[in-house]
Amino acid sequence: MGWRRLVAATTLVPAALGAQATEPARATMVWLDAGGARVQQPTSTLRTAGTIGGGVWHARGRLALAAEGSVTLASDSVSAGQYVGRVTMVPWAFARTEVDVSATTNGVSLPSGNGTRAIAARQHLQLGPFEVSALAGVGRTTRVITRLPTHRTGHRLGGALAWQRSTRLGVLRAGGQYLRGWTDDFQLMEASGIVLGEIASSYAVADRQLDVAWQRGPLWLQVSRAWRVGTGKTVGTASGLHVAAAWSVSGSTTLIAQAGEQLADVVRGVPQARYSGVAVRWNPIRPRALRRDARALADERGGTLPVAAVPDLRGDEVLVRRREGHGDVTIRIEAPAGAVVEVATSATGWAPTPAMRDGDRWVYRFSLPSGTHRVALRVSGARWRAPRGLAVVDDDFGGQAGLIVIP
Amino acid sequence: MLTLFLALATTSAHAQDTPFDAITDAPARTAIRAIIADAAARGLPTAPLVTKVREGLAKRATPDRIRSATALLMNRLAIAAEAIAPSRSSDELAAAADALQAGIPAATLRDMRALWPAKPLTVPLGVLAEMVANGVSRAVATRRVRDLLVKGASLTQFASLGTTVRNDIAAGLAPDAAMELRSKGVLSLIEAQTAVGTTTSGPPRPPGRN
Repeated sequence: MGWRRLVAATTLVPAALGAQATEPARATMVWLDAGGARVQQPTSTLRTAGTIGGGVWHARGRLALAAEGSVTLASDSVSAGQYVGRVTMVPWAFARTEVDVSATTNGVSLPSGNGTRAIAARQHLQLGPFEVSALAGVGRTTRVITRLPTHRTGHRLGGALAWQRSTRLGVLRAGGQYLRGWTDDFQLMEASGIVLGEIASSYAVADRQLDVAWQRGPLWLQVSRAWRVGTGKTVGTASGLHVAAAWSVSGSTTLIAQAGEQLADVVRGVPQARYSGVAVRWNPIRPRALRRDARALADERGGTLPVAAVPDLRGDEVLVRRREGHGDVTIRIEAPAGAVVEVATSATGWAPTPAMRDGDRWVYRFSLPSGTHRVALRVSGARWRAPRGLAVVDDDFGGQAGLIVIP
Repeated sequence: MLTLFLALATTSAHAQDTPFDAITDAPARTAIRAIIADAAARGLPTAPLVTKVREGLAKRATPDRIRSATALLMNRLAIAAEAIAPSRSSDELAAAADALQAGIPAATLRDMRALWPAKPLTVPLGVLAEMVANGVSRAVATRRVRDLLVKGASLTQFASLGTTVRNDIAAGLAPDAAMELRSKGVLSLIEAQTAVGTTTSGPPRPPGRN
């Protein structure tokens, strides 16, 4: 029944490398996650984010299906949703195939059309203590900036080699992977220090990653180190370090702590970011063989899912047209139709004025005379904030305002 | 004499349709009135201070926080007035106060006043504060704005610099690099005495598919 063990060992959630028990022909697992993190992306301030999510996995015969979703909310009202479906097939005991279909969405209050659609496939071959893998993926990122959608694509190819050994001190797994990636997403690349040295149709990068994981009883530790270098006409380097620890406090509850820096994902359009966070995972339904396996927490796609970075590549909310002595300002806010959106400026003595609904956005237009002006907005009575697209200054009240300069 | 100034200042402040009555805490209200009266007595514009009070009320700040914010702004206006003297323009002093809040030293303001003794510094100082708020280092922002002042950049060129640098930063360029890049473009324009086109377009990028 080796192939059944492999089915259980290769699901979306568990890298159940140490599963010693015989897996049943059918198995189901459900999990719920909640966590918080501090996230720092290259073009944004340090933010606090919270994530809730969950998923379900079911295996029957040689096939396993999994689906999961999560929503991340940041302290500055940024939100992101992530949804993944995975199909795992085990045609032979020594081979398994995984196909992931994933989507991420970015939005102010609710997940919206901004985001990424991606598909990735992995083929694994088990050769004794070694596992050899081939990886491929392609993704398309859409960003709506002042109503104009921009589309960027990325794809990736590579291979991985992993080795595992069980000893009386625990289960040790070590591996490395080499990936080549291509993307035309200049925002993603330039924000991580990767640029084009010459005109080219896309950025090309080579990634190398080493992983070491150790598990003993309820404790699981993982360290990953990644290096990225531009190839061909692409120049620049980037690197990341990820450290994670998990402790299974009971048969169904596990605590996770992790910190590090992730490289920009050319397929899923997720920016490079530093993060640190904690999360708790609850498995109300779990297969017996995974009950004490703390590595069921591990996310094979980087181990950061419960506290994933919030993408911050949204478009500006402000359009300023300047001419000598006069400026016309248009603010477009993405908020639910039932929201109350108010804008206040220093030019009007900070009298809050409601924005008007125009299509799927809230819109407020006003003119400004020559000088420096401050602008703030709030949605449904929430905290006043600077519109995206303006320089953000301290308002002396513990909040922020946007700065506009009119010649 | 001081009493007369205070009386005039109070009258002046009231003439601006002051929001003081909306401040429920009597001691804080009295303190804020005193701050504004003191500013008027020192020849500082009171309009930015009244606007600050209104901002605090709109944002539902506590009376003590409004008093504190008003006092902070008054101090910045006083330093700015000394640095960019003899100007007493409300807009110019407010822009200088913004620059001070962004961490620009008063000596830099004095230097810029010396470079532009006759023209208002409102827009250059506003752009300077804007650049620092966008993440450009104070040293680079100051040096580049100073260069533009020396070369006699127009107010429109200053203001558009803020937009282009902000866009470059949003697109992923390092703030200092964006500031260097765009200010060099404006300087090239000035030196070439041409009013059309741009001299630089940033690093090469793949063709877009919008």
